[in-house]
Amino acid sequence: MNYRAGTDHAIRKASHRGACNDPFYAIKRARLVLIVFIAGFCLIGLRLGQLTIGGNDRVANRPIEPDSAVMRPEITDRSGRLLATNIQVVSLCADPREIIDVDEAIELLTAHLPDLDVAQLRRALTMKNRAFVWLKRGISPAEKTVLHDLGIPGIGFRDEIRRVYPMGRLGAHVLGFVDIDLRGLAGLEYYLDHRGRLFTASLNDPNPDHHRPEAVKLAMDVRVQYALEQELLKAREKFSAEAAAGLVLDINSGEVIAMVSLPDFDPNDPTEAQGKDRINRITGGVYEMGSTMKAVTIAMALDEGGSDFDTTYDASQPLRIGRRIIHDYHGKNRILSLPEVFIYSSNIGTAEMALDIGADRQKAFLRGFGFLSRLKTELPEAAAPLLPQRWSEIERATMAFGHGIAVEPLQLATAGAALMNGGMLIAPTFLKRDKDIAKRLARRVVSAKTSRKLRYLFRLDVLEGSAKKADVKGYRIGGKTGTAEKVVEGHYVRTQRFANFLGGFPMDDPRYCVLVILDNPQALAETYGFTTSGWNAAPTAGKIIARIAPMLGVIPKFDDDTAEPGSKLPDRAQPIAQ
Amino acid sequence: MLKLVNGILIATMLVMAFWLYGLERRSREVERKIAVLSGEIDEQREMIALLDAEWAALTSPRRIEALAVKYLHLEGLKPTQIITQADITDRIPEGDGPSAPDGDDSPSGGISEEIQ
Repeated sequence: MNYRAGTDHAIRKASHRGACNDPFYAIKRARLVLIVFIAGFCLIGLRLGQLTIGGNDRVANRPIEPDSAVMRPEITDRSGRLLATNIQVVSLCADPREIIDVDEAIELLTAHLPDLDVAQLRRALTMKNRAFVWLKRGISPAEKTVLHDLGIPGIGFRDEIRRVYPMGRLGAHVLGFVDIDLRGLAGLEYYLDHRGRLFTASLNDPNPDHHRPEAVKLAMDVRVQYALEQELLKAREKFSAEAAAGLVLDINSGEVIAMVSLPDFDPNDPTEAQGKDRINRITGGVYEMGSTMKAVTIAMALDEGGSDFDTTYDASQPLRIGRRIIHDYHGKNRILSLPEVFIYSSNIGTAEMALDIGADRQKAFLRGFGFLSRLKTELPEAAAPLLPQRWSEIERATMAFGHGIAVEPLQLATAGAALMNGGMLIAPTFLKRDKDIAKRLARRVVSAKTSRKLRYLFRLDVLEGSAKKADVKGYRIGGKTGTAEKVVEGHYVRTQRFANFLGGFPMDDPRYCVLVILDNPQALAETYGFTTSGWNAAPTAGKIIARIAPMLGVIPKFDDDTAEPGSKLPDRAQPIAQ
Repeated sequence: MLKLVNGILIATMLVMAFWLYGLERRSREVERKIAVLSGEIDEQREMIALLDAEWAALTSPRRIEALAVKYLHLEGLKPTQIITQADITDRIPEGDGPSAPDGDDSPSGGISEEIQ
């Protein structure tokens, strides 16, 4: 019993423990839990409602991530005419692992796409370790429907973007081209993917619709580009030249209005562009430009050497430097004034100018024009100039008349523009540029006075000198001819010439600089057997200017044919100081 | 008390569920419409790009020149043929072009002055 009573006591004691005699104790506790849960769910509900119904700024403002959906920008000319765009095409692809009957698939595909290569197709479809192979890029919508209806297992389609150049060859060397996966391989297309990535991104940036970037605006004018191309085609054919190239540069902004290098290619079919003769001769190659460089030497003599129009140079006999002798091509064999050195294109006279100046100043002057380093433009095709290793007397003398120094033709045109526009060197660009920006980029290389004298000399050369055939009445063309002997396998070849003409118009207030190059032009009956620039490149430039001047809004004037009144030339009828 | 709270909660939940369902249905419908419309926009854009390219190809100087040679028998523009607006009145040949109304001595009827 004792034991029982003991147990009883223990039970009673246990029920007393915890001091909880309240019958509602469990309910109270449950209510607390309930309230906590309700509060929790209310909070979650409120937040959900806020997120879904109330507009949340932070979500909408998340950064736009670069992805493949961002399109390549279109390219247009300076007035918005389309030069490169993207077109959606369908491409045929396959998953070789899913092909059940390879022979049947090949038979069906080639029956409907006869230009597919059977051997290649078989190789592609039997690669069992691959999950994806392209069969044909760019098929027509009709072909897609037919192939789709055949229902061959493992064959599929992908929408793809293809780059199209609606104007074909026009401006091919400026535009460049892309590969089949839309990566830029040459020209501006390369620039847009590489050095110009920031520029490309900026076209996307301010645009809320990020799938359509703004178009890239070129400095090019398609009408001028076409006129230049046509005239160069004619000239190349007429003189049976190996190649022809031309450039029209806005001398006040540095914009390249037109650039042609023939033979060219169709960017829609870039395989053509791989030929070695298809290089861009304006920026992609360096050449000894010959007498056109004399303009730079004369500017140096006027600007640095203290020479003026009445300074004379002795060209009565060939100039002997060490073992080398410098001759004149159009030898006058007398003392020449500075303008005569220019218009008779005297090698001796310009060599004397360079020797008078001294090596350091000559080097500094050429460096100022950028002749000593690679010219940076948007185009990746840029060749570094070839310079003499030593600046000894003979090198400096030959450089004065454009031999022993090989530069990009675009470099020469840039320098020519600076000589004509008042002495400001402006880096050339292939993209449209504001006049204000050009002004900020401009750097003085010669004084305005020297530039004015050069304008007079350029005009004089067309009126009375070697470039007579470049003249077109009304457009006040000025310029300088240049003919260099070509270097073939390390030796000068007397029979192969590199003729060029550097000009500008209208010379009373120059606006455009024109450069024409003919590579190895042949003599014709009408050129009396001559192959020098005055007989081929200069008249071609005249024809080009006659055609493009009205497009560029240059008004012809007939009343004054004196380039610069006030700067009188000594009478050339009587040679000075025999 | 507890029953009342539960009842209210269940009722609210049902109302919310219906409301939410309606909202979701409507938003799905709008989303579908948006998808259809943006598909159409893309299609139209594609079409515009195609037409732009075609227009550029059709108006390329090469084609225009070929057509001009074929249909218009024009010669190249000579510099002497370009004159300024001020010279227009001097260049109108006798008995050619519009004649001046009476009492007006300018052959172009003062148009050039008006433009200027």
